[in-house]
Amino acid sequence: MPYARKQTPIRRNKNTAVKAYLFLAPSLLGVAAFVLIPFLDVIRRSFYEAMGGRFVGLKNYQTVLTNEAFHQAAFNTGRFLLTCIPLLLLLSFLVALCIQGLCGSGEWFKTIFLTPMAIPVASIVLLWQLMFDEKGYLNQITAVFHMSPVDWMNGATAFYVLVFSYLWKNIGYDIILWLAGLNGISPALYEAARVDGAGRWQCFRYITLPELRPTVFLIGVLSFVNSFKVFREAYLIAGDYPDSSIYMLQHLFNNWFVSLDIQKMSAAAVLTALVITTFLLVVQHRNERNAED
Amino acid sequence: MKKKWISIIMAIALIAGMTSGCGKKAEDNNNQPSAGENNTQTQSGQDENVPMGRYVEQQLALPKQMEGESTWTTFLEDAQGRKVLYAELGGTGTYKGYVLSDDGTWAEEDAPWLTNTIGKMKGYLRRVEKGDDGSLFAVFFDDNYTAHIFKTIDGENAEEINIPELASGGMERISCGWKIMESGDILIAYMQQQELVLYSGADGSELKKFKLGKSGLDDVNDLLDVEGNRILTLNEDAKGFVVYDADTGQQVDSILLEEQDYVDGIMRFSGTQEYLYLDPVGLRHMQAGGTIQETVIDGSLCSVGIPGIAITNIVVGDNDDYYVLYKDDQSVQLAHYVYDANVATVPSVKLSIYGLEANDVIARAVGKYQINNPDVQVSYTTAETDEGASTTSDYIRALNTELLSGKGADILVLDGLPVDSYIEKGVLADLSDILKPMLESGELLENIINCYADQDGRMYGIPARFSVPILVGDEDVMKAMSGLDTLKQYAEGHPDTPFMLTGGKTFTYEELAKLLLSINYQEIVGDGSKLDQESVVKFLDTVQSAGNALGATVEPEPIPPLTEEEMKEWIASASPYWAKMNFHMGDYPVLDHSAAADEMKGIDDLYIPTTMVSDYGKSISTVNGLFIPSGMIGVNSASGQSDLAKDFVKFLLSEEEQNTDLGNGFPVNAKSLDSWCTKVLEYSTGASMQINGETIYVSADAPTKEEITSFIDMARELRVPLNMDRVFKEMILDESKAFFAGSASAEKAADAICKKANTYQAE
Repeated sequence: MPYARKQTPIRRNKNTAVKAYLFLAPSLLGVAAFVLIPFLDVIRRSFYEAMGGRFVGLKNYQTVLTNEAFHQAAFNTGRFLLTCIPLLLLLSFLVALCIQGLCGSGEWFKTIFLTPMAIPVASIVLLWQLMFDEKGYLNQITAVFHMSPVDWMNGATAFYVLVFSYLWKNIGYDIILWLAGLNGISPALYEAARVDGAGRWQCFRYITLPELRPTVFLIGVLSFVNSFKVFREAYLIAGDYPDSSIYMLQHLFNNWFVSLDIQKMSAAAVLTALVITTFLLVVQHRNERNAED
Repeated sequence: MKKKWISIIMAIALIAGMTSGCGKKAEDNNNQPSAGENNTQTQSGQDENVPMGRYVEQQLALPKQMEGESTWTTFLEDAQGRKVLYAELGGTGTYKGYVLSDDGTWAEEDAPWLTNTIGKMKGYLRRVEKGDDGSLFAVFFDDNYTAHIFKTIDGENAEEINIPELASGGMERISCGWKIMESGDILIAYMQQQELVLYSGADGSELKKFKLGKSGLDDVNDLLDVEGNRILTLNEDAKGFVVYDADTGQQVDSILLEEQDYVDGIMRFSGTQEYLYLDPVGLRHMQAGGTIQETVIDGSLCSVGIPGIAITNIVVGDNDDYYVLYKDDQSVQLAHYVYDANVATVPSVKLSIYGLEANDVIARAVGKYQINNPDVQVSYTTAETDEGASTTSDYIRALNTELLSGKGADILVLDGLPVDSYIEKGVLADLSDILKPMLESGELLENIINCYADQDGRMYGIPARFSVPILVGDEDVMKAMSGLDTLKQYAEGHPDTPFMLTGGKTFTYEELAKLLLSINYQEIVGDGSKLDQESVVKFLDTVQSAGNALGATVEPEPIPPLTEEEMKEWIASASPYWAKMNFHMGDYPVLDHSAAADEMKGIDDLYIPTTMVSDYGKSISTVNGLFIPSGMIGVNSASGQSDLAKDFVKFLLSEEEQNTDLGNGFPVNAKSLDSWCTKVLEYSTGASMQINGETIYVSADAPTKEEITSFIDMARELRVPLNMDRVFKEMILDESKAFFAGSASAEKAADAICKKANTYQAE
């Protein structure tokens, strides 16, 4: 019988860890080279003058925090996030619940809701221009009811057009994630509850919602990340300086880069990253605590 | 175990593949000099592997007798192998030949074969060429636009070649190319019919016909050649050449040119099995039946590649050398290209220039600088690519990425770039060390250059040229147009008298807004710190009042149905020109109480304005002291070639370089501007316009010296650069569209403009 080398649990764990890191290494190198190291450079630049010559300490942060354009952009971005993400989570959850209740035709609905994700941004922009332009389809419809035309992308309505665009594009993705979460709940729990006399609402409240807590966190984070991508549509439709209601942080960073205000851009990027990281850490911590409870 | 070894081998292969490319590039980068690095290398210090040898240009001095006198010139090799320059002196009808000797001197001789024939005729000489039968011939067009060909064998007497079809052709059959074959037969190209016809040298009867590609040129002689019984001509789509056998009429070879949208140069047989092609790209050799083209002379390193140069002729010397006759701003030059084995094939010292848009003034300076400094290669790149590919902001972002990494071009053409930001961030080097001495010596115009000095006297960017926006017309209208309030008052007080003539087309509110924004930019934008809503409302109201008085429309006039050819022609001629015009509006103000706006970029532009003054009693005035700078140039402070870059800037501003007038703007060199006052223009021009259904023809003679001087004196008083912020301009014009369309009030539109503008300023 060949000699079998016996491994202790500690050595097995260490070997496994080494193998894991080896497999992760190429991806980690790529992320480090293209994301982490550049971000470290951004942090460095936030303490220096624009062309990297002189150390200026926290002066750039002070400049950014007192900058009116930054206030406006940050406010708009925060407003957009606080409006869109809860709306998206709620709408996609409701639709997912409805789709889960359908037997065969649910697949069709999944496809329909996922289709906007497959449409290129440039095509969406074209579509929005056809719809929301002053001479677009929407105004032609309202003209039938003798309403005067509205320039939907200029003025207060621009914000809601952007919200609609974000919801329309991302709802399909969140539905899929919700459905995965819903399908992950063991049917035995529902059976046991029904045996104990629980109704549909009680099953939903005491089984479905608690079981979906981890899913909420995941979908929330992904929706949060996707919300920044809406800048592409806003930029392609409205340019460098859109209506003030949709002037976001990315617009500001873009324009700062054109005018070579790298020091301000770096400081604002670091501040934004700090706020987002803090927020995610807090939410994750609460989620983990709730899960333990 | 086996699986483990396979995994290890695959991991090594993966890592090796990923890192192999990096190593190679690093070695290449170390060897090649690049912009921003100090790569000055002397000949003695050069690597042995550096390829040596290239054609070097020498300028040959023309015969002294021709200075300022000749009205027509050509250069050719006659049957005896002599290099002869033929010229007509002073429009007298007397022709002279100047024979070039080996030491570069010229021997004058008479050319009676020209003087006694065409010298006594009325019309104009089109060509003097050498026939393949050893003769010389001249092509002359009389006042009836009929072509006459005179041929000489002995250089003394010439006889007209009798070709009945040529004599009777008329306007429907205009010839555009002429060659004499070795057999004495005559080959003539006809433009409208797109054909080549071979006529008998004996009796002028038609022998054969060949197809001629459509070039749109009225003279294709440079694209036509004969040798023995072979004919070289344009192919059908005018993107290459074909060779016909004159005896059989069959095509025997075809040559396609690389990367050519159309051919534009001189094509010649070069021996029995080769061709040569000269255009601004350079001189190329091609083998018969082959596809490879060898660039013998690089146009980017010599005069032929300089914008504004018109190549007239090329003569091949006896020792693989070349003579090229060309015109540069009305003066004739003769360049001699000789192979020098001791000069590096590619100059070792490199200087880079970058700009958003191509600028001919800079491109010319690049060409001339390289000729004066053969060891320097200047690469001038621009961001212009296919339309619609990227926006200006994208190009600026790409440039900023390079600047941030400490690279970027040595010299920046600052038109359209965020200059103030670059100055603030220390991207641009201080040029006062070279500019102050030039200012103090009076070499530069202080009214222009001093606009670019900061409070400490430092200068980071200065224009290479400037244009002068003017108003021409009645004084009351011009006075009204100088301010928003005055124009609004005038327009509302004269609703039935358009203060600008449209010449048959309607103005749009957007065009009017662009013009009035240019005139009143300072009043509207102020110091640029915060846009005042009241000023914007006033601007919009004024544009509307003025537009109402002129019958302006919101949308441009629809283009009438055009054929594909007419559309192509319209786009080619009008679109790029008008798109770049900032300050042009209104037709010639021949009626009372009217004015026109125009932008003077050279002496040639003064024809109509000075005619309005002299013949119609109108006035010319500059606009609020404004001038429009162009070709703003700055040196990258991170450049490793800053001394060389500053030397180039000095050259760009020198009298030698600023003397040229190609309609790109007035020189900032004071001495050049003085010399422009003495320019003599000899042609007349004219234009027709539609006024109230009537066609009025305006003919304009050349401006007199006094008129030119008076205008240039006005230019010397201008002190306000028109530097419209691109972003402000776009915001104002975009947001005002809703107001002009009637879908928003002036206050609402102004509010939208101010919100965006203030966000921009707040950044």
